[in-house]
Amino acid sequence: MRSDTLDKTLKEIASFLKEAIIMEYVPDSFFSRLNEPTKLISLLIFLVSISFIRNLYLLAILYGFSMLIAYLSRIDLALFLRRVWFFIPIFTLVVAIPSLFIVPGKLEFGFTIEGIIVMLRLVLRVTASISYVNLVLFTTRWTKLLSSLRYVGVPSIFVSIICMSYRYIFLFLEIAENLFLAKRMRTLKPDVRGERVWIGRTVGILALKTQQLSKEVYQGMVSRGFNKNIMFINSAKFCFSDILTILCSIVLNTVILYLDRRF
Amino acid sequence: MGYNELIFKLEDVSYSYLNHRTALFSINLEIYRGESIAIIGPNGSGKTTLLKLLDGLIFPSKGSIYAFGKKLTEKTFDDLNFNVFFRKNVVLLFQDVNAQLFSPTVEDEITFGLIQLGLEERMIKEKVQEIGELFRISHLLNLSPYQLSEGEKKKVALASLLIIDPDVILLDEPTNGLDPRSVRELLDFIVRFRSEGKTVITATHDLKIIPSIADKVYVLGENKKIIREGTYESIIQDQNFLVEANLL
Repeated sequence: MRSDTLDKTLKEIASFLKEAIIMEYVPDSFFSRLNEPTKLISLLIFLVSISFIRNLYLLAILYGFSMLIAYLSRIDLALFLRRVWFFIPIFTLVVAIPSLFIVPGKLEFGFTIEGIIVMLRLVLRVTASISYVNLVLFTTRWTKLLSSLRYVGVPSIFVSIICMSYRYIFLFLEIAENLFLAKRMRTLKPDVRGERVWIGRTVGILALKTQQLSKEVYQGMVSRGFNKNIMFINSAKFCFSDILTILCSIVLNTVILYLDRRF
Repeated sequence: MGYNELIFKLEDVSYSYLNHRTALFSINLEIYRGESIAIIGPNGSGKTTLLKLLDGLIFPSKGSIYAFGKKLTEKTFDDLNFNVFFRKNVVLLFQDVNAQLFSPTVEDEITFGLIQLGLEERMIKEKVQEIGELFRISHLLNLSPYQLSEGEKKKVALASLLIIDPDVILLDEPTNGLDPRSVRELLDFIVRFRSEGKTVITATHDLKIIPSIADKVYVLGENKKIIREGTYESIIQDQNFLVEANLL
């Protein structure tokens, strides 16, 4: 492996993390104005329903519905599609391909029709699920979304740990980037072995910095009255549009599940 | 101004990290309500350690600290009433504000202390609005701390401490990394706290800011001891001492 490949890999990882996590701009729409617990509850309803549906047409309709909501929510559709199809559905396709040959049934062109159905069902389920998850991510600020996890039963101490991890990822990305730039500034003749050793050492330095900072953060919390039981304000207010959205999600998914069982 | 209520008393306090790296040695100190104190000293002289001891975040390896008439030990803070009383009255602005801004948004950060003290939601919202206007940070409330400049981070950290209206404010190198305008704004706040009769203890090696922030100065030496105490004028005029103490 060439040394500049290592450099590029590190840079790519940092920029991917930034792009994936920092979604600060949330376009104003009906869905962005819903409160976060409503979105999470509706998402759960859709995910459960998708995992039970067997009919390919109904799965395709649900996927199409997520695209329609994305369009109505004024989300950049190109970016939305890239996020949905980047990685996971492609990997799922790779995992699902063997089913073309191993699922018993009528042979056509070297693989079975039943195999194709099984593969398509898996890919559609994963794609539709990721599409709905991304829909929530595109219409909600991360910070609000993380805090709302406690409404779906996640203990507040876990929520606060997740929130803090989210907060400090950026700080450590910045430190790691600065370490990388400082090294590059002083490197005249890069060599692969040296680069590997440097990466190993940098991981060590970051681990030490993490430990040091976590101690300071804890002291910062204690200093401001943290006493093992973390507390939050219960700020989510359910209004008519929230209740209507949850009801619509329940009705729509019940109808689709009914149709799936009928046909 | 006469000060008569003793807030902190340190008796022969020493502190060592990992039981062998001495950070403070044999400190004796008395701090009264309403006093403005500057603790100056070169890097590594123990200023931060002293502030953390005063804030009850670490405890002496030797000697005793008393705050509001009670000896500070880990056990003292197990008493919930004292813990709430102490945390409501004593706050510390960390040197590295990144360690202090641990919440996902500025609003969460500012409300953290109030929520831990069990205030009602309606009052919390009123106080957030008030402090937002006072510190001119209302437009930052929905942002995440990583999106702020260093000056804004310091302001938010300070706002999140002062929202609980404490009596004792401990500041660790408050002007570090700030541009001149942010320094001026910060000094204005400190002057304001002093005029409100709050006890302000500032650790710094920025000698220029001392006249605005303190009327009494303690100097920590490289030997981790208090090597001198007095007024700003009496210390700043002794150039030989300042050079010897690695402050000039």
